[in-house]
Amino acid sequence: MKALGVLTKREFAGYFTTPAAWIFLMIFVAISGLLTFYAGDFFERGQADLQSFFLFHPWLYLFLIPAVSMRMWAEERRSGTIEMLMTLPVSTTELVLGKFFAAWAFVGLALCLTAPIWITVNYLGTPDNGVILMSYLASFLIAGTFLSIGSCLSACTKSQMIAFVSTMMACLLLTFLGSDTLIELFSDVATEKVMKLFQSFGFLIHFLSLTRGVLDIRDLLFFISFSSVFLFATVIVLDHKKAV
Amino acid sequence: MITLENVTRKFGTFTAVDNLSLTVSKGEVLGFLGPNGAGKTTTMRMISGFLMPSSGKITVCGYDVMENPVEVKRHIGYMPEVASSYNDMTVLSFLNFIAQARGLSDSVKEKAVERVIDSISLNNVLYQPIETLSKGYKRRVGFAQALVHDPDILLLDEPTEGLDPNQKRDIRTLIRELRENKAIIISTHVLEEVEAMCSRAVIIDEGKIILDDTPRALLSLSETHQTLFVLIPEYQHDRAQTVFEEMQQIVLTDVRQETDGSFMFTMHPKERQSMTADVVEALHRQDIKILDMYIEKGRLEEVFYAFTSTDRELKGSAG
Repeated sequence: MKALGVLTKREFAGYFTTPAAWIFLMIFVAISGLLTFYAGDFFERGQADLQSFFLFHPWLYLFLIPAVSMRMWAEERRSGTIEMLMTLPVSTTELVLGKFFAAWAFVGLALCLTAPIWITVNYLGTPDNGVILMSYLASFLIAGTFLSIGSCLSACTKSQMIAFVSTMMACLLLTFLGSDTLIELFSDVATEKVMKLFQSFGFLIHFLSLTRGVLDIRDLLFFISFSSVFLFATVIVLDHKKAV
Repeated sequence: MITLENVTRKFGTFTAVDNLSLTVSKGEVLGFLGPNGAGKTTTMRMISGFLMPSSGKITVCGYDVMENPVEVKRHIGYMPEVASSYNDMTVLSFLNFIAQARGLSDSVKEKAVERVIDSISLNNVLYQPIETLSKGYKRRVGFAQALVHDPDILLLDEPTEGLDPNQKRDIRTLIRELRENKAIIISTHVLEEVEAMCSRAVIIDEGKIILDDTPRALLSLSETHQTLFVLIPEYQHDRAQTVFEEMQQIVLTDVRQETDGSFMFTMHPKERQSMTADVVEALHRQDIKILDMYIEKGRLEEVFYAFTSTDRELKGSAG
């Protein structure tokens, strides 16, 4: 377990050796702010909450998370450093978790940097801070789930570009699964039962229910188990690549 | 300490390592030779646990590589052929990271890192990002990384590639110092290196072991092994020629006049054993002066060529 900490620390520090990390943080904070004020009508709504802020997070993550996760394994494979990494006396699970936690912490940092908007809304009114805290949790969880998908797809390829695009598509699909648009599209062909099943896998439904401030264990479990499955898949992919 | 039993590794339909068995014990420095694509790197990767064999069994320090990979990796220091370090880190932080990831406690870690920095002379570049280093320094960082936990087993994939002659010499000296209580496998193209630092040489081609012996024994397989060169003054060269031609055990292969007028005779023993004493005695009896004389030990290069390339051409024409 000590090794896990060491690996996570190195990976996290690794983000800041290139300007890309700083650019990511800036873009995340800037765009999430812009979307809140312009697209989300933060002022016009006249409500002291951050609904319009969190609403856009899944869509923002769709572009930004693949950019974080694409290099996880693809870059190690391309540059060849994976050989050194995978001959360290640590299990593949520890390697996968190390990279994942580092990336998650990095996105968590980006989320923390949006604190000014939370301070703003507290200055302007008296929002329900419980709901806001819960929404932050929801946002953090969905980011983690996207990252786990990205981790798995990044382990499949040498190319960061392929990792980026495939992660974006996968996350887009999973986000859309529960959306009204998709339901309408398939309402003629699919039975209600199938639609319900589809919906239950939709990220958006679980995300929105958490941001409403309802702490439903099922939503929490959904994201946690989804991440676990993809992280486990990453381990399998990496171990499989040793054998073929 | 390292045992490979009938190890085969396939990539799709291509067989990189073919039913290979090999044992390396403590104190041995095994030079792993072979043309590109012979399976050297694949074999090393399998021992290190980076690749799994398609079939067969690999044991390192008593642990099975497939069943207990983490324990195996603990005992191995592995220097890959390419990119053995993170370019964006400084030398010191990278070595610290490796030491920590290998589970060295803080007090041990500090000493261990200090030790490798000294023995590989990395003092000048400690705070430089690895990407700014020359190729030679990068290789040395890779070497340091493999040594930091003082492993029982060292796997070095072309350790001296890209180093200048002085650096090569340092590395060779270091390996010679290290070999006492370790088992070391070095893959290399540089044949002189095998002579300089290995106690055993294994030539592999197309995934199979072709030769496995001491470097000296391999040298004796060389065609030029025991070839004798004798320099005779000009006024005696006729007589010397007669002496050589009368000797049954040797074949005179070349006679050449040097710029100063003296003659260089090249001869080859028929029975592959040293004829030096006989030749000297025969010349002495005739009062022929020997200006200079030397014996060829043989060239590993020739052995390598004879056993890998011609073989391949034959196979090529047959198939």
